[in-house]
Amino acid sequence: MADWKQNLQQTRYVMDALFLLSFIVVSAPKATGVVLHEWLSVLFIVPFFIHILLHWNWIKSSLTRLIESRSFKERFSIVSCYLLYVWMLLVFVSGVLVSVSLLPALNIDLAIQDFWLKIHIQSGKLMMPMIGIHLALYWNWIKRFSKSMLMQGRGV
Amino acid sequence: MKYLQRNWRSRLLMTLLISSLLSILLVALDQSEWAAQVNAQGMESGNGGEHHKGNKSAVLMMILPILKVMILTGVPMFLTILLMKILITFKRFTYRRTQKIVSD
Repeated sequence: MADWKQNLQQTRYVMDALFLLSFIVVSAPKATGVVLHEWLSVLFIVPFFIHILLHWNWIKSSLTRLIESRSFKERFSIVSCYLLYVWMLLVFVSGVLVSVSLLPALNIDLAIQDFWLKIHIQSGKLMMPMIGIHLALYWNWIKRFSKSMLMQGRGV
Repeated sequence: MKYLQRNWRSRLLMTLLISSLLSILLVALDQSEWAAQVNAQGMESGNGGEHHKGNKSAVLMMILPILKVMILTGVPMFLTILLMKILITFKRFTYRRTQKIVSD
């Protein structure tokens, strides 16, 4: 298990698992409380960017593949990834604009608009099924690496 | 983390730049007529559920929202997997049928 850092796919697997776990935690503000939710969301930017950096080559080639690919699944998957990225940014931006702890801590006094509150709540809720669909599109990869990581963990 | 460290500065800079640009565009949404309309209406049903926590234990209040996230993520995930499996089966079935018709 310890040498997962030496393999790109395994590094992605471990980091994506942490990303998913942190997503579950930050998506439940009623469990953590709003203040902790806001600060954890700031930390959530780290696995978000790690996810992007670890899939850099995929991102680089995605536009070409979107144009050239004949597979509906691949094109759908690429478009859904782009959408998910913009959606994640929308949740971040609206979250910052309605923050009750983050901006005051930075001495920024901003009146909370109902528009951003509504956007943050609704886009955050929609984020969950979007992540679900994203996971489903890579289900075979997840299954394969879960098995291989498990076997590696048992020393098989 | 050798894979993360590969060209990380330029990659991160580019990601930050694109993310910042998109974020600025998203912030501009509050200048739209839609935003003005929502602000004028106010939050009608915003945090309705917040007031019903009275009787729940602290553990339940921690677990239930996390369970909700897992269900709202997991159910669409399994439905999509099911849909993909049905589509693949249907595709295989029609392919075999076409092959059979051609060979006949």
